[in-house]
Amino acid sequence: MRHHEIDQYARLSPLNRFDPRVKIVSTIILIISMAFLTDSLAMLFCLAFLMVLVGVSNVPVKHIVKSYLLAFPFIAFASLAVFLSSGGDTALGMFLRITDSVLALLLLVSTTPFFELLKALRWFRVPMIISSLLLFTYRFIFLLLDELERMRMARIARGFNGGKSILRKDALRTIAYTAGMVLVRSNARAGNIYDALLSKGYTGEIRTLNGLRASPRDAAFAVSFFAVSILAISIQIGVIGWTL
Amino acid sequence: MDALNLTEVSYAYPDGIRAIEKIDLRVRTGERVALVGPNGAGKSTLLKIMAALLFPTDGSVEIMDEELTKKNAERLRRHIGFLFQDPDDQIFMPTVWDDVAFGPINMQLGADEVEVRVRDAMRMAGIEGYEQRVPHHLSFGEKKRVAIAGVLAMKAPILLLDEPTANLDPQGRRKLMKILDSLSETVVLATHDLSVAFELTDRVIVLKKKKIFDGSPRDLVEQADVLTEASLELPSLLRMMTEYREKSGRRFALPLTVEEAIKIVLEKESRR
Repeated sequence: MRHHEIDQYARLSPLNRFDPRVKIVSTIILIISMAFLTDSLAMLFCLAFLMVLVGVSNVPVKHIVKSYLLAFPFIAFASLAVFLSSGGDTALGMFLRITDSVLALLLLVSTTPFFELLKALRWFRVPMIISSLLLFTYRFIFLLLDELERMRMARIARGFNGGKSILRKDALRTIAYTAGMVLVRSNARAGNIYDALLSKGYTGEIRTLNGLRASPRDAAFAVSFFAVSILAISIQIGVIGWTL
Repeated sequence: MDALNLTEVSYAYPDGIRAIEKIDLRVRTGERVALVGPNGAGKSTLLKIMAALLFPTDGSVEIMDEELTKKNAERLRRHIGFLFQDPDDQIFMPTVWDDVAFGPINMQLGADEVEVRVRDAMRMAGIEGYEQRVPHHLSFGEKKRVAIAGVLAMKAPILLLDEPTANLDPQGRRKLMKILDSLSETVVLATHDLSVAFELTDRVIVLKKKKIFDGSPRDLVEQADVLTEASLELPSLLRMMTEYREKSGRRFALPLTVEEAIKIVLEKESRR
């Protein structure tokens, strides 16, 4: 079964050539800058910059949109809550801020192979247990999804037609049992995976041969993000407005 | 030197169910041994004990003439390459190259050595060109060959294979058998497919929690009582030749391969 993988276009993207550490730091700086923005023009400016990067990245817009839509319910819910409490302008600001931040993160993960991201996180001293967990979760979540799909088909093949209504208790019970079985099987698989890791000499650290190497062009990447952050803040505090 | 030496090894699961009882087993360096038996016979458990992934409840295990303890288990595991039945259990990394290199990198080999081992292992497993492929996009047979490459790259002197041909299509099975046949290491493989055991090994051990047979494939096929006790069935070729032998009244040793069977039949034809 084919799945939507966040980094499936990463290796083909020209943005992949930049050091992931530089990309992480640049993205974080941009997100923090955007967190202080309330001026819609400033936020739209950031959005425009990110859209240009999407265009340059060779990542299909459909992939970005599909990934964004996964987060959209939360964005919409948060904006709605702000709209009800503080009005339209503030809600629009919230919506744009979160959208910009999500887009920046999507760009980061869509243009960086997941394993490279984890190497960068380890370089930043993110605990080994977390980076290992992320790696194995990303590797094995697709197996889990395949397992769920197989069990769904098995249910249908045996005449199950529930699951569309939360009012059907028997259907919910069946689905709950199925989910429980997947967890049980995952637990058993986890034991086998651990044995396999031990058999290959794993001692807790995912070792790698290819270290990360920053180069002068990474500075250009960082400078562009930094410049956009400065410009956005300048628009926010009115410096650009005054100049114009 | 003995590659593996098990003395009165028993294993009971935490819930008290005994998986294997008092197994004595010696495997010499370079030998190829098949563990056969029905489901639940203890084959996988025994393999995991040999691989120092499980510790026996009773008895002792020696790997390369050194007794296995919890302290030296990690070091002794380096002598063992273990192929799991489900390749998804032992493919961890984002790309095929990363996964095949996983073991050699953990052995802290230099970059050049790792590169050479990975290339050689991928060539032997027939997966050259798969370096940047993502494992969960591969077919079951391809994943199996990636798993084998990962084990071969470690260049362990002892290979333990758990149902290596299970769930493979005929072509996948043939490819895998060709790879396994080319190996020069000590091999212990667990299977309930007797044809695999006969083609790849010179010695067969029948397990049903205990060892009920230890000998050559030729001796095993003549012991119908052992096969019945272990709920094993002869491959169709052997069933056919057994019936032919009974009905024709001819005397011959049961053939283990198609070529031997053809020779027997042609011998009869040439005498006519």
